[in-house]
Amino acid sequence: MAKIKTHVEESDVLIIGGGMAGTGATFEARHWGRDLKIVCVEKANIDRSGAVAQGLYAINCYMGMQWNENQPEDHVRYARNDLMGMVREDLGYDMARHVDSTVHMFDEWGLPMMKNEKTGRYLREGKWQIMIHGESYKPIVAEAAKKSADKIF
Amino acid sequence: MSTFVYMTRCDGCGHCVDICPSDIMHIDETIRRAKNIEPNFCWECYSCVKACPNHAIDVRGYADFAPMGHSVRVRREEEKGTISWRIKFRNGTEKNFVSPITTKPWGKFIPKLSEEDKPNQGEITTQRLYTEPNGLNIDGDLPTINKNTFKKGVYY
Ligand SMILES: Cc1cc2nc3c(=O)[nH]c(=O)nc-3n(C[C@H](O)[C@H](O)[C@H](O)COP(=O)(O)OP(=O)(O)OC[C@H]3O[C@@H](n4cnc5c(N)ncnc54)[C@H](O)[C@@H]3O)c2cc1C
Ligand code: SF4
Ligand code: SF4
Repeated sequence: MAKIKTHVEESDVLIIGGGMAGTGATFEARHWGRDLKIVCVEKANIDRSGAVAQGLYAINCYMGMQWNENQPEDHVRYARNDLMGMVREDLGYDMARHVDSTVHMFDEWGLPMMKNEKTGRYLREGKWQIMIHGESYKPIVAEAAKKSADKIF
Repeated sequence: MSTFVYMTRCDGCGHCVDICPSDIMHIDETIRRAKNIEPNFCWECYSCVKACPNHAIDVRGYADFAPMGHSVRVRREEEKGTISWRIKFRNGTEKNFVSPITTKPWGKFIPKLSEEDKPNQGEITTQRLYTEPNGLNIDGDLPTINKNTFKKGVYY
């Protein structure tokens, strides 16, 4: 077995795991903490690490509050039904009310999203999902994290 | 079925080793070529296939688009912003697909936050995230909910 070396690194914010959640947290942490030392520790290469490695072809959850397609309350109701009542409604609500701004940000960053040419609305494949060309979903988000972190391992 | 490497095409450059999220592409110490050391743990995610400059790695396509007996080739062209797939089916039919992977040039449109204006630190106690509330594209602020409305309409 190879020898494992210990590496000591001081930081203000330590993010463990640079998947979708970790890279997002790295970015958001830098937004609020401009002068903090932010370190993200990922066991693989963050360009492809985590469940998004192969690329995704949908964003499974988008409210479309701007077009009144769904509201966060609707999502809580859906999740509650789907999981037979076993939900933290506050968490579901919180996720749902933030998801639109995140999706708009990805759109701005260059994630190819399928849109109705006339209305500009994102095309759906169901009540919650919207369709994307997401082969490079992770490299795009990883770029944001790389620009935000002091160090990525 | 996991990845396998055509030994005659591989030059041992190690790109696949670097990118594999499952850390199972390793360089064989004797022959200096890449191999999948743990086929059970392969996600068939194609990350290594796309990263290999010599097209030396092969893996099957997912069963939902390519039944057995097919072969798949993929070329990811970062500068062009496209990914191209060619699937050869067992009856000889070929299908080609090209999809965009980004709509903007790389490296320019994602902000480097440390060089931007600082956010109002008073806002840190609010529930808003970066770009909010403007990024929501709605009139008004981030929606909030009254806790008493939870469990409304639940009869079990
Ligand atoms: C095949 C597939 C298809 C999917 N399709 C879609 C889709 O089309 N649309 C959609 O919206 N969602 C889809 N999903 C779901 C979505 O990809 C995941 O929910 C999301 O990526 C999860 O992100 P995460 O950051 O929570 O976890 P992960 O992406 O799993 O991130 C965890 C990270 O932690 C790292 N890590 C683990 N242990 C350690 C350690 N000890 N030290 C350091 N790092 C560590 C891992 O390497 C990984 O990078 C799909 C998922 C899969 C598997
Ligand atoms: S397909 Fe994915 S998991 Fe399998 S060896 Fe290649 S990079 Fe690793
Ligand atoms: S990326 Fe291709 S050529 Fe380089 S080591 Fe891996 S299989 Fe061999």
